[in-house]
Amino acid sequence: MKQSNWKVLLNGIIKENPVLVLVLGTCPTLALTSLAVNAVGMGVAATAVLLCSNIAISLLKNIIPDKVRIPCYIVLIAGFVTIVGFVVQAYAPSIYDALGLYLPLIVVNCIILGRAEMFANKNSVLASACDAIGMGIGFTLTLLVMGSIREILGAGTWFGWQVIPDAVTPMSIMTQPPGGFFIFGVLIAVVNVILAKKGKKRKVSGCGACPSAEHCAKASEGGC
Amino acid sequence: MKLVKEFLIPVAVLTVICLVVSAALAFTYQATAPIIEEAKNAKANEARAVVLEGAAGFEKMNVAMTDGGVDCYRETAGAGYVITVTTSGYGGAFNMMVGIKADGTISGIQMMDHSETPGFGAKLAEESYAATYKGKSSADFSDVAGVAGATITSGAYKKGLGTAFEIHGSASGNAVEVPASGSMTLEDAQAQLFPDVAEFTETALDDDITVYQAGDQGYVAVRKAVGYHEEEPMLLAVGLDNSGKILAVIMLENHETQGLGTQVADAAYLDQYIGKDSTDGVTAVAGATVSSDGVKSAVKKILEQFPNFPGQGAKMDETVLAAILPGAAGFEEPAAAYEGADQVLFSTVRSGMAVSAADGEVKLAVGFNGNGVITGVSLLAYPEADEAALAAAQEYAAQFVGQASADAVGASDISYADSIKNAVGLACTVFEAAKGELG
Repeated sequence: MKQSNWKVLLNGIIKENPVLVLVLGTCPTLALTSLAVNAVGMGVAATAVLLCSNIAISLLKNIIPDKVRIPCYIVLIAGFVTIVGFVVQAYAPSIYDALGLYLPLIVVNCIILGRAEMFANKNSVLASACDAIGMGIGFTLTLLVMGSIREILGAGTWFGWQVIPDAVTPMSIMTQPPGGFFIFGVLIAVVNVILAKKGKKRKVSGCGACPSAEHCAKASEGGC
Repeated sequence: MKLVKEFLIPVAVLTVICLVVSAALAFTYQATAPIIEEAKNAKANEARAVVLEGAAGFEKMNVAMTDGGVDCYRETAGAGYVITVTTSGYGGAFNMMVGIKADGTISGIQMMDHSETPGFGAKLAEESYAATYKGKSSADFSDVAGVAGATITSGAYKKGLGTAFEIHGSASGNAVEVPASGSMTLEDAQAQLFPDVAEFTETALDDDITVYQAGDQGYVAVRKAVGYHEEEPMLLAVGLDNSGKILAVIMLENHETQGLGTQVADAAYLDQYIGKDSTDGVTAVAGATVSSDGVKSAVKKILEQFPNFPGQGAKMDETVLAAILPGAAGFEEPAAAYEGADQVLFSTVRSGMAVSAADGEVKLAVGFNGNGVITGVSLLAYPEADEAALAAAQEYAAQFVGQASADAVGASDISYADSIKNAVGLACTVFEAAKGELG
């Protein structure tokens, strides 16, 4: 059991990276990675919410009736997000300012609802927590890598420190939405190459090609 | 039993979850609210101390806020004021905290909560840009250069400073004259439109339009535009070339509502007029319909008056009149207006008539004797400047002399022959209509 929990945790980092493989949570990924520090703030906040919601949902999985599971998940997630929001605003106001609108928007971050639906509601508390940590690390690392690339190229700094000398004009476009899409595409390509080298990519079409296929009960029936 | 399982349990579970989550939220809020409030105040006071050097503490002042004012704090020892204003930049509204010392000069500026574009508008939030305003007073802050590539943010920044100075004026008791937003003097506007022209000839026209002729290069027409505030109209300067095309529309005075009506002073709106000779297709600014309409109708009125601008609408002068109605001693205006003609003049003894009529870009002066026979035709405006073409056109026009109708002369293969014929025909029609006035 311990072995498989470890595997669950590692899964989230590359093999099932929520952003680059499952392509969930794209909006905060693109919007908040113009600076590395914002990326880490968002990653940590989302991980905290994900951990809380995964644990709570796997604890309540036998109590919550199937019919109202989505509203229940949403209420739980929204509650955790608001609590995290209060805590961040009180103890880390500068990160709160930087995250702005995207902090409350964690509520609708698909990663959290996605993991609740795909994993937490059919696995044990420990496995769900491992899944949350793995996914959170994967999300945070992706954001950190994107944020670092964009900040270094776009502003010449990294976590606010001057990395590229002032004399070099930074590529401002990198801190803007087009630069975000550009880096996002490149990172997805890189992860695809890594997965292909490991022989993980299978040539399937239709529902089977969906990265969520193995968790989706309807993958064999088609029509997500 | 089925009822309980299907409906009651889901409802009960969801309700319980909602209640538990709400309780947790209420608890967290109670615990964090004072800390959040304290952090906010500390941050605001810290920012206030940054923009006003040597400040010890602040007290809030209750002064009348003009549009865009947020709050005004006085330094407890009287070192100056810190005024927060809101202004609308490229990425939406942002707040600015402006520190004004006791002597009325800027001590520091902080741009807060802004979402301007990084690398462009966000540059204005940097310390180094705010420093360029240090020591400026209400009289000279508008001379500070903006940031290239961030025109809108730079404009918003200055607008915010103007508001801050206004509030400072009422807070400190010595009201200051702040140039209206989007403001530019007439001289600046003239220099921008016609940089090589030193002397402008002023002419007052109908509709409260004042025209400044820039030598032979064009015109600057100035007119009021009534927007949202009827008692305080905007003042527009419209640059026009000699053909009546708009070179630029410049806002000289703008007293519209901050952030809404003031948007009509933005290049995004005014640049729509460039190159046009009508106001068709100019779209209003959302949220500033009344101001937009005011600007549009003022520009329209100026364009309508364009033919009356000095040097425009070639008139029949003495030379032309002598050529087309030889022997007439003097001329007088008709008693009635005649449709179709640009101008109608009768010889003082009412024995003949001179009519100017146009077809397209061709404009002619035609002389008639009392019987309606054409005594002379002269070209007032002709699209081709080439001498040979002009001579050919003049020769063709001369064929109408001695005729009583345009149809008596056949077509010609010279360009614009049809226009010449149509214009003569039009002049004949006007003659028929006006001949009752002849002696």
